[in-house]
Amino acid sequence: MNSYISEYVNNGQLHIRRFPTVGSNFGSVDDNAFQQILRKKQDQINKALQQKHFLRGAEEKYSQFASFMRSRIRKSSAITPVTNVADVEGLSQEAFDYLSKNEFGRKRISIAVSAKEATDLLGTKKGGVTSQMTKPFQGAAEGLDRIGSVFYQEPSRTNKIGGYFFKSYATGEVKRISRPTAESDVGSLIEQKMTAARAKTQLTNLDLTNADGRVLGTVQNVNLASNDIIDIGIKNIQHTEFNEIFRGVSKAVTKVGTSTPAITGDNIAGISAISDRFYGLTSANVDPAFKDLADKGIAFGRVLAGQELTSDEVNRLNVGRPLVSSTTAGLTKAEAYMNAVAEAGLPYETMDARSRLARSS
Amino acid sequence: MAAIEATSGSKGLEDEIFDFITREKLDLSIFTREVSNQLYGTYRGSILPVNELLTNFGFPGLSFPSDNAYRHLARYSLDLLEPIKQGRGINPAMLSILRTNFNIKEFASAPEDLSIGRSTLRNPVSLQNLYARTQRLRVTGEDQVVNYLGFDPIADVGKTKTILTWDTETTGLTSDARIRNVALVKRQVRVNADGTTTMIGGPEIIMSKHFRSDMMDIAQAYRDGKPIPLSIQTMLSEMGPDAEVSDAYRRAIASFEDGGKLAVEDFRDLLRAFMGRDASIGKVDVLEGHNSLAFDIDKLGDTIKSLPAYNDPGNEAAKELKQLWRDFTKKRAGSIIGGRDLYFAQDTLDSTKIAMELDRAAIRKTVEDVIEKDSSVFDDIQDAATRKSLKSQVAEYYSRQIVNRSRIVWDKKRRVIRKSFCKHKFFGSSRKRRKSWSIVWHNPNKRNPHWRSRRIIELIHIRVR
Repeated sequence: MNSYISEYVNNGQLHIRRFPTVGSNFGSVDDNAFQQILRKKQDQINKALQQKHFLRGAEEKYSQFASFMRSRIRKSSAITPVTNVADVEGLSQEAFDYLSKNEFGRKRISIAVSAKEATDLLGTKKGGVTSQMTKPFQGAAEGLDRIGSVFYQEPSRTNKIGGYFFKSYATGEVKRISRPTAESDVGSLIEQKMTAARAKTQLTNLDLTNADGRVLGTVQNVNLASNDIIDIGIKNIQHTEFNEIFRGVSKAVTKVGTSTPAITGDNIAGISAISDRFYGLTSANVDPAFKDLADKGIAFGRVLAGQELTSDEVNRLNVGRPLVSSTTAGLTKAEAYMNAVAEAGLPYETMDARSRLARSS
Repeated sequence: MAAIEATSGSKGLEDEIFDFITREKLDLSIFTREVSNQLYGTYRGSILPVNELLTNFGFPGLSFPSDNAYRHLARYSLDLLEPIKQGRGINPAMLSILRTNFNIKEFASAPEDLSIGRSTLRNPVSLQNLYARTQRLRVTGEDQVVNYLGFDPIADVGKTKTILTWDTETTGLTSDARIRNVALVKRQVRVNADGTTTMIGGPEIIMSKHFRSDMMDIAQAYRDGKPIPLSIQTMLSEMGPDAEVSDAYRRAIASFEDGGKLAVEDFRDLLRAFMGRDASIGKVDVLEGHNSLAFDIDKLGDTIKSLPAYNDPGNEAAKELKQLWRDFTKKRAGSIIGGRDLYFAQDTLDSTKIAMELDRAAIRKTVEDVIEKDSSVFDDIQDAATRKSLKSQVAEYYSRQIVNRSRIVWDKKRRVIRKSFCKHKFFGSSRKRRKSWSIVWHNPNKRNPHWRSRRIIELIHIRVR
């Protein structure tokens, strides 16, 4: 994709512009004269910009290649622990259910919608009356053409009314989905798109054509429904914590009504010892080099003459292995850790391991 | 430093220093506070004179959404078409401003309330390369700018050129993140007389190397209902459905093990490709990547040097990799006399930013022309200045910038900038080096009487709450 973009930019064939900032429409400008000029000249200006290909006409369509690239760019996010989950396939069933079925979970999701879906959600005005959606959505839209995104926004200082919004890709215009059933309608659409993406019901090989109809290449195994999930709304590390908490809560439910001991000095000493056993220097998974550093007392303190790091120790610290190898066992280890916390009679056993470690250090 | 000296001696230290000064992101945190402040102050005072910008042009005019509720994120907008039309290239100071973000405090009242990142001071070496590239930009048809790849408008016409596009993925977003995937795409183009290129065939993926790093495994993902480390899930999702049974997957799993021996071999193969020493790829004319100068190259260097196998004196692949890295750094950032290729390592983020600025200017001109043709909308407004201002604001509404006033600032700053670079010995102070650097700031159009009055930067004021 980068290669194609570079080629088109090099030949002056790709116009790049940012969409206007959300809320930056001329209605927000105080100057009456400015607004008046805009109103009078808008049609002429739009026509002139369309002729020079800076604005697309309402009937113009992107080539299949452009539509596909746009869909990939929309959901493009590097996979790292601290970036959002990229694909619904990697979610646990519990997280998937929360995000697709729970009203609070759904508010984290951003989806791309087709023209028909946008019309269904926003309604069409006929004779001054906004039409109502008459039938439920029929599964995720097919094809690649999407005209905008739908997302939830909490009320804020600049945007007093919260709710679900639609943002047009063509103009950047943002509209609030104001129908009374907006929450359940959008929720239903989110659930359908997420279910279709997870079930891979729209897996296909795509021949990508450019504006002239020439096939530029074929992309294998494209999950079309997955392209519609722009943002899942939780980071990979949050997803991990969610699963740990979920398991912790599930176990704790069986013990509802039992008393929780107060926090004492003994408790604090206890949690430190347990944390150390699972994730600290006495853990079996810690690299011996790191233990050596700790024994020298220089890991986090001042380096004394004669105790400088060896090149081997520097190398080991560089690759970060001593610090992370103890967590590769993943959820099983976290679960065992929290079990040990609960068995010791310590409070907050439903907390995820990372938060617990941060508070016990 | 102890590790470097122990393994490589003074030559290694020399290489490290050379690497450091050619990095795109100058890390001021390694200096004492005093030196760090001095360098930052020099940059802010002379190279990017914020006070003078504010005095002459007001606040930056492009405002962007910011995650920080107490800060505005803003940039200046520039008029780049005229210098390109005249074939003079874009002034390096303007190129520097083009990629500078300003963080403005909510109730800004002094220049200090506009901050620029201390870690994003642009390296003058890449700026010089970019300046040379912009001198080869051509204008065709209706102000259509082409040849961002910087091919020679005479010598390269009719020739076939090989372009490698590369991209990396990393284990995280912090400074200690390491590369976990690198991909290389090759395309060939024929250079046309009008400055455009014609692609021969299509882009072809010629290399995709994965490296499993457990730095990612503080998080897990799910596969078939079971939690697995994020590093594994990432490779499986990126390498395709049959990944688990492939040799590439097995190699990726073991790449950082045993001191990273396999990773060193893979990075050697990558550098061979960069340098045109891979027979299956052949000579490489351009190596391009998006944000590759400020991110990918620095990350590649950091990752390679973090591998114990790289510092193993008995590792043959590491020896070759070290030489390849030296040659690569010299080719993209060494002295011009020493054979630097100014057009070799390119950042397409620069190209797209220039293209976006040109598009903004074209939109503004289109809107102004429409209003000029029929000025009846101004019938109620008698004051000429107000008419002009309103016309500009309407143009800005469409192009995201409001033209305020125009004045040249950079010409008179040329000498100060060059002096400050030499003073801080970024490039040494020998007459020979100064001469080579004067090219950057040299105005080839000195005799043009319109030079001083020509509109370079058009700005802008925004309503600051």
